Amino acid sequence: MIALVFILLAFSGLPLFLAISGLALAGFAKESLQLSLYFAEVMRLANNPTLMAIPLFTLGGYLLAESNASRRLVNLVQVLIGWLPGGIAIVTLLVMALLTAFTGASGITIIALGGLMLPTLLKSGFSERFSLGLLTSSGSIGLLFPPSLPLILYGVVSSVPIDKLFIAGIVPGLLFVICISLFSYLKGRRNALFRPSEPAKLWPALKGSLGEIILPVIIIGGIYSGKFTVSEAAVLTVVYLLIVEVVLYRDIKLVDLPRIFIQSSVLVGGILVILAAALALTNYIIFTDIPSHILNLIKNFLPNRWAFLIALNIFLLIVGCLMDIFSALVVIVPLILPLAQAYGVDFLHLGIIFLANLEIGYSTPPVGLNLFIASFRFQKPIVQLYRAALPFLLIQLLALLAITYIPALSLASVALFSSK
Amino acid sequence: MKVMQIIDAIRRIIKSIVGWCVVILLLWMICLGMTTLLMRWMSLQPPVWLDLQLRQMVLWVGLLGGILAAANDRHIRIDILDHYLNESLKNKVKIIINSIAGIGSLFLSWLAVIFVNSEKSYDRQLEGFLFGLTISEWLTEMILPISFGLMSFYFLTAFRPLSRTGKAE
Repeated sequence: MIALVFILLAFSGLPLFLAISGLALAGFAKESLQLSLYFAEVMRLANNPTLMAIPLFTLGGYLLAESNASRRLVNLVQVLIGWLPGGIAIVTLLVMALLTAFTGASGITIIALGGLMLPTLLKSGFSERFSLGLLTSSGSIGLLFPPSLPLILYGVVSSVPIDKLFIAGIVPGLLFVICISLFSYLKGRRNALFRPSEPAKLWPALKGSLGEIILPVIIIGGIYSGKFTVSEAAVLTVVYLLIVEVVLYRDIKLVDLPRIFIQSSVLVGGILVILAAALALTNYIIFTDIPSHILNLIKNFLPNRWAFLIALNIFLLIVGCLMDIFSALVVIVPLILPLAQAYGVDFLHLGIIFLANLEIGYSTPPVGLNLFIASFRFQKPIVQLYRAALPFLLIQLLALLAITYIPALSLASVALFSSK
Repeated sequence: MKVMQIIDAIRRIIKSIVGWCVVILLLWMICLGMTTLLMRWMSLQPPVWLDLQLRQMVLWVGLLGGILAAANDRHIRIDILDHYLNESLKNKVKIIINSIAGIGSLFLSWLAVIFVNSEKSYDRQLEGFLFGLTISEWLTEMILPISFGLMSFYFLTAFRPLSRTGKAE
């Protein structure tokens, strides 16, 4: 009964960390545990060595979003592939994916790039419906690429090595990008949307955005060569971006830095208090062996791994459009991990399935978050965005099926890197 | 009216102080993180306090960020109702929800006081935490009751900007 009250309050807009804390404390009280134990769980956060990556990668994302990196990257990718049929749509997709990987919270990319890319797409001959759909669904397309915050958060919650998650997400992330790029290419070819190629502009464009494009190479290369850990990569990312965006490009003024630091800490604060509350709830869930009860309950309906994965996909798509990705990760992952283990699903693969579903959930009608952000950003009725996002949703669902039922898409690259 | 103005002023002052604390802590965190990295590259062993401080600082930044999120009405919520209610009903629901959030945070703050008190009785030490100086662990845990107390203050006083502009601050 109390649980139902907190769930209702959560859906009425109570900050999620309080709703989850309420559930955890009600559980503690039911089991006659000391309520102040809740804070022992909060303090347990400080013992996690990789947690430092969360505030620092978030800060890095905010620095990148505040700079003119997006314009420089659009310029470069436009010169590289803008001449392809539908090239400008692919440019949009790639730049949004790259920025989302760093900013994590997908709404930022729609707000930052939407105003720049919508008129460009329309001018290139794409229909308004296609352009809106592309911008809405691209807002979460980079969540599987390193150093995306949700990947780190899944690693923290599930104790799966974050460096392995970074590698596992690359092929599935590329699959999403390739599928939507193909759709854009076909659309562009049908409507004869061509731009002349401009090889003379390649070097200036490359030189202009060199600072940003080598950053992912440094992060991935550094982690896999053993030069630094994930947390150290986060420190280096911030220092690197401070040098590039503040000193070299001078996109960000020194006086703006405190504001950016504070803005990023608001997101970090929002995530960490939920994470702390979810740790306490997880403690209760494990104490009362809830996953075993769920497993006994579902075993009859879901006889094998494939049936479990189908049910998981449906469940996560619903979660993805109802909940924010950060809260969904910290609340749902501890519940699903024991079930996945019982069905023999690899935790790395599970992480990628989780994020792929939540990524799609972001633009799934009727309540996917990206739909509301896009409706606000482009001043369009939400129903128009439902229609616009639909073809992209179907394409992403096809990619999701491949990611879910072909584990090698996520695991082969990890095995390849581990063997080196 | 005067009480409201005082509350507004207190909200602004605390927000500004917490904001600057976050900036300083983040800068310090970057410095410590860079020092650890450079020392490791030079095959030097970083002092223990460096790692201890870094870990505590993540929690401090997170909780201070939590205060700022409450101050800016930016805590993560499932705000499905928000998209479907009209402006007047939305504000009424928000006032009720913020009041519940305020009482909830206050309760958490009180639990945190109990927790810190019990930690005080164990008197565990953080060896060399303050540049080699050992301090009691409960001192670093003081952030718990303070942060949840301040979050409660922001939730409970959020009705001020709501009633004046029709929107959250």
